[in-house]
Amino acid sequence: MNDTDISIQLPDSSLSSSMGESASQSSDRSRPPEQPAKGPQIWSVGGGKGGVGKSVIATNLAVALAEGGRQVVLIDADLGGANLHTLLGVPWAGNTLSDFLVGKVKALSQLLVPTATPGLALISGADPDMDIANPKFAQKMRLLRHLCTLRADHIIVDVGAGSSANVLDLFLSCQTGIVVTVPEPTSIENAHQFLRSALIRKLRFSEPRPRVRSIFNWLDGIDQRRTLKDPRRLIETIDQIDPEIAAILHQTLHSLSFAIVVNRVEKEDQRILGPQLATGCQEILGVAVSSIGSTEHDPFVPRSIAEHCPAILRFPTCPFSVSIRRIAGALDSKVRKNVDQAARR
Amino acid sequence: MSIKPHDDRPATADWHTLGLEPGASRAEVQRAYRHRHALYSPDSLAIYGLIDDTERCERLQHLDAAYQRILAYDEPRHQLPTATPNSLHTGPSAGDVPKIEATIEALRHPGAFLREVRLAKGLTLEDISMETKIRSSIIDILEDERFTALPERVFVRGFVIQLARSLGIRDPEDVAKKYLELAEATKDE
Repeated sequence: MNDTDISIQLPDSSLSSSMGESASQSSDRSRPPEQPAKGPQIWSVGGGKGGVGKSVIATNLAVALAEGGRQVVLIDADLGGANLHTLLGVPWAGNTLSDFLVGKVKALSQLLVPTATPGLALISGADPDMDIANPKFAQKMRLLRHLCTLRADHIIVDVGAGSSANVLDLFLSCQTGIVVTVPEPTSIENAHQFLRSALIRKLRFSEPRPRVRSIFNWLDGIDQRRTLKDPRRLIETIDQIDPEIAAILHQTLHSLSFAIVVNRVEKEDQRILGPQLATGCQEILGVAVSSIGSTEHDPFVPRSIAEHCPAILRFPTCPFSVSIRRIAGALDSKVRKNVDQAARR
Repeated sequence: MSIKPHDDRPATADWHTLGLEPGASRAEVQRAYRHRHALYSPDSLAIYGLIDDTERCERLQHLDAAYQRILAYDEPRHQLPTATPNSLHTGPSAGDVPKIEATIEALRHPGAFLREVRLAKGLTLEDISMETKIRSSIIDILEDERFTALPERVFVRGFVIQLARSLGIRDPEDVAKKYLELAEATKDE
């Protein structure tokens, strides 16, 4: 990935600050005037490794939030392999995210498809035949602008597997990125790589563009591979060249927050993995990461997938469903806290 | 009586190494230490691929040094009562380690309370099993309050006392009494 492919385009920092950490953190100046004070809370679900349960977690969380009386939009942004419609048991929609990305459909709201759960709507994933797996930067930015205008309490964006530029951009643009992993070294390793790549990408495309770009071009040139993998080391190195930029990047790193879900927990001692991952990422990557819960390894989950019905609807009392409801409660209370803070201002 | 030189005191950075602010309670210090000690142990899954072994060892040594300095500087006025999770709160210090007070609310579900305290201390079932010599499967049943699966009453009492004592809960006998009361009440239903 080189700097030039998107360097001339819209900086993502202006956009993400307009969608930033709810009303509590974004100043009035950075919010577009037409946007209501309380927009939707936008969560992205990612984590690098395939098959760890990102889509299942995203789908069941969305149902749980809707069952709790919230308006929820679930977006299948896995541009390479969309299948949330299958998990929810809704027919393939006539218009999908592809039609929006190529401009055939003007407003994201036209793509909303009702589901069996009142309060939950789905935007189906891209049509592989339309070859939209690598949308242009401007297309992505248009998608993100439209996300904020959807009238909903929660938007959950399943960004799919991998750590490609597109996946990272989508993941980073949402207010809180949820990283899903399972208690296996391969998955943990990929989750760390994913988070690390996301943080470095965020720093690399920070404002002010010309100065940040020239610093990164220089770092790329002198082959600082180790530095370019470690956000804190990176900022320390930049501090020696341009302390002002280092301070800005430090600020950027501190403005981000992520959450971790450990899926398919089987053994008692795996329950402390979530809090441990959070501490490890905070201390080593220098970014705020919180553990929002674990979900049980549960044979009812594959059964629910086979029956094209979310586990939380099909087997509402199974261990997985119980943990999902607890996590949904944590997400929802986080939003309420932010809204309360904004109201007090 | 000798006065400790000023530089014996743990630096603010030592507390920060444990993720705490200066003056955190002894219970918090121990919990924070156990949590990080497990995190930076050689077989820790949570940091797999995140740091190399050299950095892991450095962090562990750094952690141990900070912990030792904080332990060495053990002045009572530094053990300010601070917030502990949920229904736990530490009572006044009895002996070396402050005991955890079981509230009436917490003892409505003594099994869940035992688990909460155990997890707050960062102990796995295996850890506490090693310490108490009670089989981890039995501890799991006790914490789950699966009364039908419990061993004989006489054993239960001893197990609960043992667990509560090992976890540093004040009045283990009372926890056992509440546990058996709940078990009896549930059996009648």
